[in-house]
Amino acid sequence: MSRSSRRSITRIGAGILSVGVAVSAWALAARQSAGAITIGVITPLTGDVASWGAMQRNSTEMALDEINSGGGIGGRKVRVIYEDDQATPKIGVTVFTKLATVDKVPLVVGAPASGVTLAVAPVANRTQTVLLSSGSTATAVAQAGPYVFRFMPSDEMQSAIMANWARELGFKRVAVLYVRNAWGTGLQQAFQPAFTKLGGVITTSQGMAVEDTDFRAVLTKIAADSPDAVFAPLYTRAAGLMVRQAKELGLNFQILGADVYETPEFIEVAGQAAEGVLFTRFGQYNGAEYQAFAKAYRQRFQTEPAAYAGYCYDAMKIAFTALRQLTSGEYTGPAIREQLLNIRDFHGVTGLTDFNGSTSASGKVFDRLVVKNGKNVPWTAKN
Amino acid sequence: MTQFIANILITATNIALLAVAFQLIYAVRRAYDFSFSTLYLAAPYIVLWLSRSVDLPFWVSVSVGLALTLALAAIMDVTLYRSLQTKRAPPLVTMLASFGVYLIAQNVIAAIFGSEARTLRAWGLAPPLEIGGARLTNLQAISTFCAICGVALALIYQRFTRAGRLLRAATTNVALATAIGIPIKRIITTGFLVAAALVTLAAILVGLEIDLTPTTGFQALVLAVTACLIGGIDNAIGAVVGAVFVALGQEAGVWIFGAQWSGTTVYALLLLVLFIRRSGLISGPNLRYGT
Repeated sequence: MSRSSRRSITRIGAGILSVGVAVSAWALAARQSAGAITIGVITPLTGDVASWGAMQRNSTEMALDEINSGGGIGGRKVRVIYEDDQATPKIGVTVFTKLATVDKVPLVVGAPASGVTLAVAPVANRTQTVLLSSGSTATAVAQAGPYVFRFMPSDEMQSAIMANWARELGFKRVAVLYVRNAWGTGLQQAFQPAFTKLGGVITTSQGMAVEDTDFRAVLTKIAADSPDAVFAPLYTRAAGLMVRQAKELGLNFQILGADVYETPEFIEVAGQAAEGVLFTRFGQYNGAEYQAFAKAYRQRFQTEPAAYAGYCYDAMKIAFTALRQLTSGEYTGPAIREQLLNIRDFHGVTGLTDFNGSTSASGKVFDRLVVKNGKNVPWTAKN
Repeated sequence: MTQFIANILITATNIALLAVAFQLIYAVRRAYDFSFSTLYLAAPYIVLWLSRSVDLPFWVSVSVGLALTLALAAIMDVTLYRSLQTKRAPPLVTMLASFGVYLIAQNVIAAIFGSEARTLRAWGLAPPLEIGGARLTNLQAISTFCAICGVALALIYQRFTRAGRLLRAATTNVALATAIGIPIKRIITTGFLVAAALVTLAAILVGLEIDLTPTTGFQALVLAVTACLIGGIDNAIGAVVGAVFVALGQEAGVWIFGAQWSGTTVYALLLLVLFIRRSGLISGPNLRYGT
């Protein structure tokens, strides 16, 4: 046998050995997690709203550690498989399908982006996998099918609150600058009739792509109509850039934002230009449960939790509550769905959650906030 | 109207810088090369690392960042592209290989710097400028000036320097150029390094004006390619003319039809130009796609 042949055989042997070791390790890991209850989480871990994904991951880990340190559910640990939807509907469908059909999880928590939730909904309904949305506010999510649950208030409500607020502040002429996806378009479509019904005038309505970062041309176009304010449901980073660019152009109309403005990334990107921006965000309950959660979150992640972090934490807790009602072997999508429908008066860090036979929880509202001295503070007529 | 014209001028000069850089890379490789995006992504992150982690003063960071980006371009040229050239790889292979490098760069940068948006600017809000009734930001004025200088340098390099003329000769007919003794490898590397410098300038300006993420680079490539296709990919003047048309399409889209139609207007314009003149508005007599 030649030297090169011997070398080839040695290489093949080493390759087979490596594959064998890898397969054994995988089998061992699979055996170790065989007893765990596995659920999925889809959230944007990369991309323009990665900050939301980071918050969801933090809150999920907190809820997970609490449940597992308390013995899990029915003596079984709970395990989470995270998938990155990049806030993109197409990618959301891919990762959700993987969770539902390959990992065969009965329940998925997420996604914050309404567009992803609406795209994923048909797959959730077809595979009978429960999708418990932690952040989707689009009005259409409430009618997305029997397996799609959400406990956020709707964009219709958010737009109505903003329209009333704008009129209350005396703004007559308002331009709309929105991101062209389910969330942004939903808010734009709900805001326009609500505002005009109150006697306001929409000067122009401009839709931007999710990936747009340069707003200077469109801002000068908006300024040509001399609006009193601009309602701008844009994603966090884009909103921060838009506000900064508006200030650098010397445009002084009032910026009215939406729920995503509450993430720290908005003020980080906008800097001083964020001062005075008004926005609505998911109602934040300030009871003892929230205070304890916020303290633990701050200690663990060295950052202030946004209201959305509380909703992600509650989504996990609600999921655990439903799972606790089931016995081992019953952890299926239809069984979990039945338990979620029965959830009434759930006391969490976001206050009371009540599904009461519906896939859309009631009792949640929006708060009105203003950026003051680099912080989000509740708005009052005095500030 | 003044604002509309100012917006076109600002957008056109910034796109023109991207387009002449891409056109030069195309002239070197004869392929749609994603090294444009790789360098566009790497350059501002290198500057960010130098200014924030190594703590160098900003202008030193920019200078060292430019040098390091050029070194990266030289490494890419010597390792990847020379090998492809030796094996006479078709344009599609060059494109795919460069795309692979870009994807690796994206993931490496995301792993090191994280996926969140970062900015190069270390100062607060700049005061606004008003010129002849048109509003613009301070940085827009600076970047427009820098872009004009960058485009002028690219045109001078390609049309008036010996290295630029040799590059055109060498890439037009490689066999003939080799036969008459033109040092092709050196000429190509020089051309690629000039293009890398232009890309670095464009990327740093955007990093200062807006921000950067690990997905930075792709949109800039799309704009550059569109401008080159409209103007004609075989010469730098065509790239500049194409950039003016792209800017016109973008701004007309925003001002006439609304921001949601901006992209549609640009691509409708591209289709119209390609329908009328397949090789672009200004194309040289010798070069066509795929030659």
